[in-house]
Parts: sequence; structure tokens; C-alpha cells
Amino acid sequence: MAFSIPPFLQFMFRRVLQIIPVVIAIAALNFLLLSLAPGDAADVISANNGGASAEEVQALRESLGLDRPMIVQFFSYMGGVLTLDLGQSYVRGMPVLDLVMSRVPATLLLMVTSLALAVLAGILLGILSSTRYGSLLDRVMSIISLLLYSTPHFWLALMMIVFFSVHLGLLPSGNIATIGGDFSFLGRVWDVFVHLILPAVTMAMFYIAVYMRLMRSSMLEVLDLDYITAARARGASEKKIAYSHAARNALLPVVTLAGVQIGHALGGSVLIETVFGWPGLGRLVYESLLERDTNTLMGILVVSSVLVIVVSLCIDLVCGLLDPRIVHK
Amino acid sequence: MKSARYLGAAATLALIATTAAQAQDACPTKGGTLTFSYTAEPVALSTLRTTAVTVSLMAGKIYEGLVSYEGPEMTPVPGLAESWDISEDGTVYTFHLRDGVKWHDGEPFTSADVKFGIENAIRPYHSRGKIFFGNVTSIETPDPLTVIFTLASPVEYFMQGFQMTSAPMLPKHILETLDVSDRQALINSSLTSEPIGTGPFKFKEWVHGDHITLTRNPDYWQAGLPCLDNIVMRSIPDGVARGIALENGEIDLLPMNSVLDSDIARFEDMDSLEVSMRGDEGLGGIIWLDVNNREEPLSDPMVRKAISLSLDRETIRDVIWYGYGVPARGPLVSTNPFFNEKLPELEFDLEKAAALLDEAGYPADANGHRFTITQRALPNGEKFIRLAEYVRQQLGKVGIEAKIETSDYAGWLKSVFTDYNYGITSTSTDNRNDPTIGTGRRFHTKNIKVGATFENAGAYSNPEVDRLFDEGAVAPTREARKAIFDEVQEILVDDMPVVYLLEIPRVSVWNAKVHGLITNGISFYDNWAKVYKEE
Amino acid sequence: MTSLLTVKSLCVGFPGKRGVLPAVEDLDFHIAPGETLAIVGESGSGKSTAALSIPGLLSRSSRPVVSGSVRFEGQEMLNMPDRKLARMRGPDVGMIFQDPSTSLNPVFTIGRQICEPLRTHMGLDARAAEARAIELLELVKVSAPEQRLAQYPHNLSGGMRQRVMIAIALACSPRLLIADEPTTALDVTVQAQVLRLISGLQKSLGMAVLLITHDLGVVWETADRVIVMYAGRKVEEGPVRRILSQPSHPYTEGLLRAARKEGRDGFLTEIPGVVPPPHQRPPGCAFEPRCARAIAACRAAVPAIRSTGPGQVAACIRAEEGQPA
Repeated sequence: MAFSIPPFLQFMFRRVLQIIPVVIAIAALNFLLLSLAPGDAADVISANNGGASAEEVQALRESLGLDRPMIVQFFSYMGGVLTLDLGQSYVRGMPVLDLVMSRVPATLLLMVTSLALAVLAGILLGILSSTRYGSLLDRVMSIISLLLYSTPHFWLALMMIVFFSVHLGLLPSGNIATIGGDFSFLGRVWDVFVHLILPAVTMAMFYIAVYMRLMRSSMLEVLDLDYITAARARGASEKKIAYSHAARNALLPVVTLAGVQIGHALGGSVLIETVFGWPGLGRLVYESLLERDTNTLMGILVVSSVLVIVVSLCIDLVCGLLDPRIVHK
Repeated sequence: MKSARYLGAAATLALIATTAAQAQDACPTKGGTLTFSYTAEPVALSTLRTTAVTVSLMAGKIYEGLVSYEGPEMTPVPGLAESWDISEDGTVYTFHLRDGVKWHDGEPFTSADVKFGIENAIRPYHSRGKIFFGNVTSIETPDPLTVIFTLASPVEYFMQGFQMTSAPMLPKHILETLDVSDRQALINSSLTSEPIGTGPFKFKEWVHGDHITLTRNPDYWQAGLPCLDNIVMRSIPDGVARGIALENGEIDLLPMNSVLDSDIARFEDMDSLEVSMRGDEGLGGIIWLDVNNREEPLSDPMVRKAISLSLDRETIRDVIWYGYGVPARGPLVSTNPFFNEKLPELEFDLEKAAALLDEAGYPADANGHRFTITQRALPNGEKFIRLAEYVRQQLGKVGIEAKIETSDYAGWLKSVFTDYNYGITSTSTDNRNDPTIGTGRRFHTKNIKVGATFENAGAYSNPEVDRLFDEGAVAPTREARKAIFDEVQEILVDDMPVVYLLEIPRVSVWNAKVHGLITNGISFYDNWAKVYKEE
Repeated sequence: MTSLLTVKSLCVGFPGKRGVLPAVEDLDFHIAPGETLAIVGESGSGKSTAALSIPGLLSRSSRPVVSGSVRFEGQEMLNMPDRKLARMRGPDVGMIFQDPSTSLNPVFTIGRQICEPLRTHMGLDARAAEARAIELLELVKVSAPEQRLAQYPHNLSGGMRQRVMIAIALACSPRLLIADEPTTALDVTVQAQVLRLISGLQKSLGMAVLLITHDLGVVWETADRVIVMYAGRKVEEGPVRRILSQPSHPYTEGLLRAARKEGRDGFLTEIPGVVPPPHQRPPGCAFEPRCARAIAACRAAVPAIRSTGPGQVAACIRAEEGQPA
């Protein structure tokens, strides 16, 4: 290793410190927005019960602490966050941390798999396209990527279900595993994998298009640089130049974008999770929003911010490994 | 105390004797898993937390009420209570419990459970606790198999209070370990997350956001039941995906409007699927336009009637509701046992509507415009939006401009029930099977309270209606109550405090191999002990 | 005389909005084994383009149009398949570039980049390649070569990087080294060291060198023969001593005067005007607009190359053998 660990850790530590105030600011802003929206959890809970008297709704509001001034609610909430207490879900009654953490693995699995798939496929296709710049293959791939980019997620998802699940009967149409399946450990892994294919591929499609286009242009830029000519001058094969010399350098913007898009992917997973009945965070967001389950929403926000930070730190790490200059700066 | 047996002793004995044999007959096939899906997953597994559809669908298999019910009219039949006596004055109810019933954890079910659960959890915390048990002065348990309820005054509908959704029997030995003085603690406890009931199915696992599995209770008190081995509620939030899963055979049932309207016609043509509007008569779903009676000119009954005259209920049904539903004739659905058969069909006549508005003193200006009102739409899918569009179009024809404002559910609740920031709004409501429970609160003056949800938001107030609802609640016989409610219905149609639109039975679709789902007026909340699935 | 490299009628053009723009036109030259040939000219003269086109290293995205003939030991290199050409780069033709800071891949270690040609062309295994890489770094006088192998380009100074580039170019002992302005991007003090290194290695290894430069001082110090290019064409060629003492072409003359008078920095102030860009070249002599001795005939046609002295040729109708026109 050319870099020593301490500066790298310092670099990470700085990143974390920079992010904390951002998370607090985001939390505050969201808390404000949520409290500005008309209606609260007490209304929704009582309505789901088939209606309730004014006294009952008010009692409910008090027991949830929703009758307190917003500023008091906010500080009490942020105080809880600092001690890792995210409160109770108004609607579900579970501790929010448990509720959110029970959904995190599924979302992570879906997100990481589809992004990894997208990055891998996007990069390979991008390299292929760039090395055949201007060819028929390059043009066809450009058109396909444009189509993928502009196809609505949910439509693609349904088409995937209809084709692979209904017509071919190859893959399950939803959920994360066979319900009530009695499997060995490996059998369970295989079962989850089979369930993962459709949602992950569907979600990856969009990002494949994005990464492919980015990788292609990044490659074209790098392929024109002096060190590529220099590598060619010492007899490196075209394949090696594309996949090793150029790709490694061209990867940086793609990996950086993938890091930035973790948040975006988290948002995009709502639709995918809904269509495929995937038990992840995305759907919890949607349900909690309709239910005005502020505590759960805030909890998801805090946990997903931490997720995004962790992932972006990992991305920084990957960038550091890809480009030794970064840590030095 | 002179008692009148609700069921003849002989009949009761005969019932007990044949229970085992019937149970065998009830299961042409045994075993298998019934998988179903609804629009969302439940937030809990006990109606103690909420009686939301999602919860009732699952909780009814685990927790049972004291008695069972049969048929659309919800006739009480022996269940956990083998028989019961009602005193002649209708104030003392004595229940004789079945011997040998066990909780899912093996503890015996006794009269102490009934008393403790109702007094400490159902009455104080269940959303319907006060409706049914508010009038109960004492619950006595002379022996482990006898429970005596004494009421301050007769409540004719008291026997309806023991439905599994309204008063699930809760285990005392678990309640005792909880802080029953704290509602939040109770509704967040294991009672609602890992329930222990007496029902035919036991809670097995809940993978949040994915599925919930219930498994057969081998010690169920009805020998040989349940027929199924497992019930699985699978979470498929997307309507199209739900339809595909049903068509594909991955799930067996989409209950209570969880099927997309656009799929229904196609499913009806498929031999492998059964489409039904039965089994929810006990709920009696109806849609109407809630009208804010506070506001000029909507405070004028003639104006409300003019609105009613402008709307063609058959068009609403055929064009918006995909042909499902029955034009409403009043506040009660026509399948309700208290429905007034003499009510006429509500007219559709634009000229009459215009004439009525002229008469009420709202003449049209040169542009044909009379006045403007605010219209909201129940945020519950496409149909209500289209309904709002239709209403706007029709009212426009008689000179009323109905501006549409939309919001999400929480926002709508606040606007309609707290801020009263609306002129008219579509709403969907359930009759339940007794007007005192489901209907009175929408029209009674005492239910005009800021912040109350699905109560008298429109502030309709008519002393005559109040009096009739009050009398109807306490009248001792079914006949007397029917007469009172017939009168109320006539007034409520004449005053038109809300604009009744459509009775909308809930549509359920299931795999034709599944049988025995329709049992009573709330079939999908029932325990499904006799539901079986062909190989 | 046996020739290592023979270039005949080399034309290089780049497609642009107004059609193909010529960067190099009708270039002929040859290099003998062990010989140093310098090509001098201002930027835009086409000297780098000509050099890069020999081993087929012109930027592909600019879609160059190349014609003529480039023979290495009699073998035609133009239009040679990529794979075959790649096998010649390194063992036959090595190359050093102008800017060492951009010519090394920033994400690979020095070791990896030196070892690459050794493993590709010489079939060395990792250990042998590394041992050879250390030798090479010693050869180009890089201190602490073992440690350098694990370092990245950004850890090294500019001069150090150029030494590494030279080591890479020499790795497979090429018979021809093309050095494209190898000192331009370096500090003055380092320039001399690098030049000395190149000529020292050339003598000890017996390779031919094609040196591309705009610096006449460098030419004087290192080259045997020199070609002067202007606006894509060769305007004069001959032995270094002869060209520097008795230039035939007014442009060469101007370059020399500028170099003597003002030193490197202002070396073009002696000739007014600029090199015409490819799409504005006159039909006659491209230097005519800037030439003090131009006559009407200069505008008529591109002047032919003709002999102006022993081993000396020039493309000027006013050049007289043996003395300036």
C-alpha cells in the first residue's frame, strides 16, 4: 500500500464530522415539513378505527405526545436520536428502531445487488461502447440505454413479472422468499436469490443505462490522454488498454456517481418494493407518510442518512483504492 | 329471575352432540395453505389497537368473540359460550361457557378471562368498547364457566357486541403481566404483536413487510377443525401485481376490494376464479356526499335536495364504479335488517333541481351561475377523483360551481373533521348492522365535535332525529326499534343532510378451489375454521 | 547506406469541418541504425504528428488519415494490423513523450508500468520483470530503484518521471527510440541531464534516435542529421554542422538567427508572423508570406526539394548551393 492508514482514517473521520450537521439540518427540515402537512397520526389512527369521538382523538393525540408545541416535539425527538432512541411508531406501536432495522436488510440487499449489477454491467457495456465508438453496436447500445433510461420503473417491473413469472413461469413474482419454505442454509440463500432476480434486474436497468453512458463518455475522454498513448507505445494490447489502463481511470466518475445515487436508489426503491412486495424501507416510507407516522418517517430518515453516509464512506474507500492520488490531497 | 332461553336446551344439546360429526363433514379436504393478500399489511394483530380492515382480517382467526355469528344478519350462535339466557327485562345476560377450551399457550379459558379482558382492556381501550359495554354495570363470574352481564338498561343490540372484531376474548394470565392502566403499553404489547387467542389458528411468524403466517391450532375446541393447515397473508401492495399473483395461483384470495376494479370483469370470465360481493353485509358499505350543513347555501335542505337531483346514481355506478353497487335510497343499505323498504328510489332530474334552487332563492345569473362551493374527494383511489369530476360536471349543469380540492388522507381528515374546510366531500362509510352503532353518530347533534373522525362532521342537527336515535338505542324489542328507525330514515331522506349515492358491496375474488369463505355478514373477518381448499 | 526506418511521401490529415486538413504533407526521410535524426520546427509544423504516425500512435478519436509509406527494416508499418503493430512497439520502436507528468498512468505503480512491456514482449515472469525493472531504473540513474517500484507517478518529480519514461521506452531495447520533445516540460537544469542520459544510452545500446524538438541547442548537442519542418512540410534537411553553419532555407536561417540572438525564449521574434494554420496555407511556398526574400514565383507552386550541398536538401527556389540566397 502506497498510503499509510492514519491519513486515510483522518480523511474518513473528517468526512463523518462534516456530515453530522448536515444530517441534523435535514432532520430538522423534514420535521418542519412533516408538521406543516395538515392532519396527524391521531386523525389517521382514529379514522382507520372507523372513526372516533373528539375526546378519543384528543386522548390519542395526548398519549402520542402530538399535542405538545412543535418545537418541544422536535427537541425531544432530537434528544432521543442522540441516545439512539428513535421513539415508538404511532401507528404500529413498535420501537421505530426495531421497525426500521427490520426493513434495512431487505432494502440493502436489493439496493446493493442492483447497484452492483448496474455498475458492473454499465461499466462493461460502457467500455464496449467506447472501444467501438461510432460503430453500429455503439449506436444500438446508445438507443437501448436511452430507452431503459426513460422507461418507467413500475411499467418495466410489471412487464418483467408478466413475462418471466406469468408466461415463462421461471421466477416468482414477488416477496423475498418462499413463504413457509423449509430449507437448508444454502437452500434459503438460493431461494432468496431467485426472488431477488426480478426486482434487482428491474431496478438495475435504469442505472445500467446511466452508468453505461457515463462510462462511455468517461472512457472516450481517458482514451485520448497521453498515458494511454504511452501505454500503447510500449506495446500494450488494445484490450488491455481499454479494460485495464483506461477503465481504471474512467471508473472514478462512475463510482462517485454510484455513491451519490445511493440516496436516489433509496427513493427509487419505493416503486420496485411496492410492485414486487419486497419488505424494504421504501414501502415503509410510503405507508408511514400516508399514516402521518412522523416518528417512523423520521426514524427512516435518520437511519437512511446513516446508511448513505456509510455507503459514501465505502465509496470513498473504493475511490481511494482506485486512485492513489485521492487520499493524498 | 325468570329466564327465557335464547336457544332451546334440547337444541343446544343436539348441537353439542353433532359438533364433532359436523366438523368432519365440514372438511371435504384437510390441510393445505390459504394465501391471501390485501392492500397493505396490518399494523397489529389485535383489534384492540385498531379495527382497520388489515387488522380485522388477521385477528379474527386468532382471537374469538364470546359467541359466533351466522348469516348476513349476524345471528348469534354458540361459540365459546355454548348457550346464553337473557332476562325478560333485557338487562341480565348469562353466558354458559364451553368446557375444555384452551388458550394457544395451553392455559384454560374461563369466565375470569371474559370479565378481566372486557373490564380492563375492551371497555376502556377498544374503539367500540363503550358502545357495547358502556351500559354494563357489573360482570359476575359465579363459576369458571358462567359469566353474568348486568346492564343499567336494556340494549337490544347487546348480543352483537361479542363479534371477534369488537370484543375479542383476551387472556387474563397475559393481561395481568401488563400495565392495564396504560393504553399505549397495552396496545403495544404482545397482545397485538404475538397474540395468544382461542381461535382455530395460532400466530406463527410475522416477517414485517413480507408476510404473516398463522398455523392450525391442534387443540381447537371444535374437534376436526380447522380444515386448513396454514393461513398466510402476503404483502403485495401493488394492485396489478396482486391481480397477477391471484391469476398465477400464487395467492388464493383477494378479499374486500383488494382487487383492482379494472381486473374484476376479466376475473369474472375466468372459471378458475370466483368473484363475489357476498359476505360483507354486516359492514354495509355506502358512499355518500358529506355536506357541510353549517354553510350557506348548503344549510338549506332544498339546496341539498337539488344536489341529489342533479346526480344520476346509475351513471355513477356504471361509469365510475365499474357496474358494481346499488343506488342508495337512504342512510342504510338495502341489506341492513333495519332498512326501510318503503323508501323510494332517489330521483335524477336536472330541471327539478334547477327549479328547486330557484325556489330556494338562488337564481342563476346571466352566465347560468348560482353559487360556488368547495368540493373535496376521499383520497381513496381513482374512483373518488372521478366521482368528484362527475359531481362538478353535474352541479355545473344546474349552476353550482363545485371547485375540487385534493389532499392526502391525513390532510382530508383534518379538513373535513377538524377544520370543516369543505362544502361537500365524497366519503365512504359502513352501516355496521345496527343503526345505533354505525348510523346514529353521523347524524346525532351530540356527535358534532371538532376533531371527531367519521362522526357528525356536517353539523346536521334535528331534535326529532336525535330523539328517535336515542329511543331506538334503548327500545327493548327489535320490532319497536325497526319502527323507530324506519321513521328516522324517512326524515333523513327528506332533510337530505348528506347526499346518498351508492351502496357498495365489497368485491372479493378467490381461487375456485377454495370453499367455505362466506359464513356471515363479516365473512372475511370470521375465523375460517371451515374454509378448505381442494387439491 | 542501410536504413533502419524509411519514410516516403508520408501524408497525415485530420478530418475537420472543411474537409481533411493536412498536418503532414509529402514527408520523406530515413534513419540509419545508431543514427540520431532531429526534426525541428515550431508548434504546428507537423513534427510531432509525423513522429506519432510512425508507430501508429495518433489519437484515434481525431480519426487521422495517413498515406505514404513507413518501413521499418523493410516492413511496412502503415495499415499494419493493431495486434502486429503492438508487437513492434517496445522491442522495435520505443517512445518518450513530451510531458512525463501526463504520460504515466496515475493509478498504477511505477513498477507495474515498467514491468508491463517486459512481461508482454519478453515473457518475463513477475519476479524477473521486477529485477530487470530495477536494472533499468539504475540505468536511467533513478535513486533507490527498489522503493520506486511501489511508488505512484505523483510521488516522483518531473525529471524523475521522465527518467522512468525513458526506462520504460528502453525496457525492450528498441532499435529506434522516438523522443517527442523529451525535455520541453522539464526544468532547465534537468533538461541537460536527461539529454545526456539519452545520448549516453544511445551510444551504449546502439539505437537510432528520432528526436523531435523545437530547440536548436538540443539539436546541436545530440543530433547527427536534422530535418526542419514548416507548415507540415520538410523545408530543409542535412547534417547538423552543415545546416547550422550554412542553412539553405530562409526559414532555417531565421530560426538560427533567433536562437543566437535571443536565446530560447524569444526564438521566433526574428521572423514576423505566425505559421499559417492548415486551412489557410497558400498554394505556393507556405513560408512565403513571412519570407523577406520572397518573389512572385514563390507564390506559384510548392517549391521542390533540391540538393543545396553535401547531404543537404532544401525546398526553396531561391536557395543557392553553398551559400544563403
